[in-house]
This record gives sequence, C-alpha cells and structure tokens, in this order.
Amino acid sequence: MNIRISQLVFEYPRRTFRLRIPELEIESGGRAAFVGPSGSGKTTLLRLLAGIRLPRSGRLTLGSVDVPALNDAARRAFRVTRIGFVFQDFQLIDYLDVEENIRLPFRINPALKWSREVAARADQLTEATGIGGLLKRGIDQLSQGEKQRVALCRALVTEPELVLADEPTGNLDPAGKTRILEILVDETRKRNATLVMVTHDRELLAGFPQVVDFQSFHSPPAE
Amino acid sequence: MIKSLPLVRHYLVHHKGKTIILLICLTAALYLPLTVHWLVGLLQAEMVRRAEATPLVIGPEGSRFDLVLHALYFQTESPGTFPRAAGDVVAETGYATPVPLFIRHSARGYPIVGTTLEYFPFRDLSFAEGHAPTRLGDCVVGWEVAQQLGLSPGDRLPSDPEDVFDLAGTYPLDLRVTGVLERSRSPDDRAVFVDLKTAWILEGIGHGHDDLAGETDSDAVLERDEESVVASPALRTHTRITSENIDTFHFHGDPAEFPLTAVIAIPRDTRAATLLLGRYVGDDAGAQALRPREVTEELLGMVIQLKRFFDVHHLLMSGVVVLFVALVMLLSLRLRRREVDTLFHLGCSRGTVAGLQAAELAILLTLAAALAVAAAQITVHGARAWIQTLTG
Repeated sequence: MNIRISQLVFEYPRRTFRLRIPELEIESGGRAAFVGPSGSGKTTLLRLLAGIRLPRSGRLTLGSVDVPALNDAARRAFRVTRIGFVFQDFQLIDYLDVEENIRLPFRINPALKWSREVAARADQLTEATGIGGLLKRGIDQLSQGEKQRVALCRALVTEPELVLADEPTGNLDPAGKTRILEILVDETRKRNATLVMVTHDRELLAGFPQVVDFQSFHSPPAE
Repeated sequence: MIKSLPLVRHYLVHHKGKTIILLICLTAALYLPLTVHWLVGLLQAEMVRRAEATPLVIGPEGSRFDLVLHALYFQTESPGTFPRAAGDVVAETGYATPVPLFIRHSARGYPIVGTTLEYFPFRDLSFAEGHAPTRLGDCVVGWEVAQQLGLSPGDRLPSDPEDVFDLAGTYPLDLRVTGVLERSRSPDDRAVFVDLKTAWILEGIGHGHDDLAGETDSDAVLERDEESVVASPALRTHTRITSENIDTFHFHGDPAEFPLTAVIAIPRDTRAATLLLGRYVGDDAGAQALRPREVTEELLGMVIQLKRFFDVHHLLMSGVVVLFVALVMLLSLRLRRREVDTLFHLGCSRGTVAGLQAAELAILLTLAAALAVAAAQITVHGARAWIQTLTG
C-alpha cells in the first residue's frame, strides 16, 4: 500500500500545533522512518494515516483510498482491516490477559474473523517476540518491554498492508530492539506491506531506505 | 457484538470489588420489594384460605376484627364471652351445625381451645398419634406444640396459671395428652385442644375436691348442717384429673349461662347462612354473626394500603439505587476513557462501545435479578410455614 501526501495541513483544535507537509510519498512495500524532535508531528502523522485524526486540508491517499474523504464507519473499517498500529503508549487493556489483548481487534470488529490460521499466526508471533510463555499473564504483570511486544503482536496479527509503529523499540534493550525490528521488517516484507516507524534511535535508521525528517514540517500555527 | 461479550466478562471478573458492590446494591433494590410483594401475596392467600374455610362466626358484640381473629387464629385475649345458650340457638334453628369455642387459657404459651369433637373433622384434622379427648382433663396437641414441647400421648401438659400471685385464683390443671394432630400448616398446629367442659374447669366454673360429706378433717370444713357444708380454704382441690377423682368434678351454675368466646357455624346452605345471619341483626341480638371472608378482606384492605406505602417507598429506594448505579457507571466511563480510546483506535464503533457498556449493565441486572429472585424465594419459602401456621 503506497502513501501519497500533498499539501497536508493539520491543526489541533486550540491551534497550539500546526503540521504542514507539502509532499510525501512512500512506495508500497517500502519502509520509512520518521525522525525529528519531540512534538514535531511524527505521531500526529501516524494518526492521520490511520484515520484516527483528520487533516484540515490537503490530500492523503493510502493506495487508491482518499482516507479523509471516507465517512467514520468506512474509515474505521479501513483501519481495522488494512492498518496495524503499534502505539507509543501500547494502549493495552489492563483487565485482559496477553492472549486476549492480542485477540482484541477480532473481538471488537465484525470485519475480522478469528480462525485457526489466525490463532497459529498469533502463536508464531508471540513465540517470535518471546512472549509465548506469557499468554495468560495480566498486563500489570508485564515489564515495559513485554508490553511493547504484546502491542506489536496485536498490530501484526491482522496481517495489515500498512504497519504504523510509534517508537516500537523505545522500551527495549539493544538485543530486543534488533529482534523487534527484524520481526517488523520480516513480517512486512513477507506480505509486501508498508512499514512506517517513528523513532529517535539513529542506529535503527540503517534498516530504512527512506528517512523522513519532521524538522521542517512543524511550524507555528497560522494567525 | 456477541463476540465482544467476553470483554465484559473479563472486565467484571477483573474488577471484582466494583462488580460485587453494584451487584449487592441492585440485588437489595430488587430483593426487598419482591419479597414484600410475595410475602403479602402469601399472607393474603393464607388468610383468605382460612377465612373461606370458616363460613360463619358468632360471638359477643364488639370488634368484628377481634372476633374473627379470635375464632380463626385463637387469640387468647378474647373479645369477651357470651352465654352458651346464645350459641345453642344455632343448633335450635337447624340452619347450621355449631362448633363452640372457649379460648381464654394457655399451656406453655400455646392457646387452649375448648371445643367439641366436631372441630376436628370440620378443619379436616387427623391424628398423627393417639386419639381425641375421652374424658375431662384430656387434651390433643397440635403438631408444632408436640414438636416444640416434645409431647406424645400419655405425657402431661400443665395449663399456665392465670396469675401466679393470686393464691385464691384458679389453679392450673395438669392436662393428659391423648393425641397429637397431623401437621396442618395452620394455627391448629400451635394449639392445645380440650373438651369444652375441661376449658370451663380451667375457667374455674367446674372443679373437683375431696368429698366433704365424708370429710373428717375439721380444718377443711368451716360450717356443716343438715342441708349444706361450707368448705374452708384448706379444702384440697384436684389439679390433675384421674380415674380416682374424676367423679368429684362438678360444675356450679346454670349450664345455659356457661361462657363461650365464639361459635363457628357451618350452615346447611347459602339460604340457611343468610337466615342465620339475619337472626343476629339488631340491637337486641346479644351477639353478632359474621362472614370471616368479608372481615378478612376488610383487614387485608388495610394491609394492602400499608403495602402501597411500602411500594412507593421501595420505588423511591430503587430509583435512588438506579441513580447510584448510573453515577458509578458514568464515573467508571471517565476512568475508562483510555480504554474506550484504545477501542476506538483499534477500529471499534461507538455502537459496539455503547453495546459493551449496556451488556455490562444487563449482565449485572440479570445477575442481580436472579440473586434477588433466589433470595426472595428462599425467604418466602422459609416464611411460608411460619405464615401458614400463623394464618393458614
């Protein structure tokens, strides 16, 4: 799934922040890293791409779909079926165990069906990320790194065409970072999925053919 | 939606404390009105059943409620007495079969019902052990009396003294138990039945004592002449009726004036009942005749009025509980803002989120309703025997 952005402008309601992206293109199956200082709009753009937030103006297409033009239900369905999102703060449900958190997208979306194949894929992902033995653990019993892996598995289990990862290695040790990045790259490459990752870690940029620096996108709000 | 229901289960199980508090509140809000409703219904049914089984009650003038409660439920605080002759009118008219009652005394707290043998078939009472009274001083005890006091035929049951400080008063009588009634789940279970004459002995109208004609103890005789003997307080009166002393028992006064506290009349038919009721209309009737069903319904009318008050009270309390639960749910939604956002971010619709909240409430309500119904059923089941014994 390719990404095309043109003259995109986003402002928060109180106009404390303004993101302006003249042009940006990420090819289908490509891997792009978003870098830049905190508050420069990296996470905001991920949310715009996921259709969680809507731009004020400009064009944003994922594949052939003009995401902002979709109605709420269609945008939600698009996100559920075609995008996997690893949130910076994990966004795990504290009263569900690891297994149920990974299965959560299937619980709440009619478009997704849990099957043996999906279960096998979930097993494979949890084993690959090293949380296979923690499936019945509560979220409050996990370390930050383990939570990160659960969030990653949840994002990948739906086999999305676009993976949006917001600092997915932020809480991991160097070995863990490398392993998680390998999994992300392998999983997306296997299915020719596009990977967009926000990171502050310059060491990881080597694995990304396209690096987008947000330094220039962030500007003071228009008066 | 159905496939998201496990989320609700996980949430409720994970937050046990909150779930239990909400369950207790909702269960209590449902349990109280439900139990009162069922208990009042049971009380009504049982009271009406006993009243319907008692066609007419005749008794002294005064409170209609007191008379019916006395004749049906054996309140020993009788509304008064009326002469036996007034009751005999019932038999004389031929309109009904009378079952006289004299209930003024008790044994170990249980009312002693002086009546005739007709009472047992009338109430469809049968004997679990033993038989009906055969002589003065015999008694038959109800099922609960036998259970509570551990009585069986051949045992003795003393009547309660009227006033322990009244040395000149009537002495208690040591009754001989001849039979135990089958359980009837009615006030008959909590009563001691004696023959009318035994009841009158308890009242002091009849008694037995040493033979004064042959008495040689001069302390027992105050005065003696050819026609009469005046006994002194030293005369020994019998407190237990035996084969040896039964012949010494006798009654003083005009038998027609011996007291009754009520008469149950079993009319031949509706017309006879109406005619009999007519005989007790007017200021000079000297007694009153009542249909217990009508009086009971009047009484129940008052109970229903009281129940309405409780219904309104329960409605208000339920409203408060619902508001409380709504408040808890709203506050909980605020606390769960992050969780809801996560669900939205993962593609969950607002409808599904609302559905999850509704399902959570529905599960709590269903559980609370089931618990309330079960608890109310247990309460009513536990109270059923008690209510039946009191009123049935």
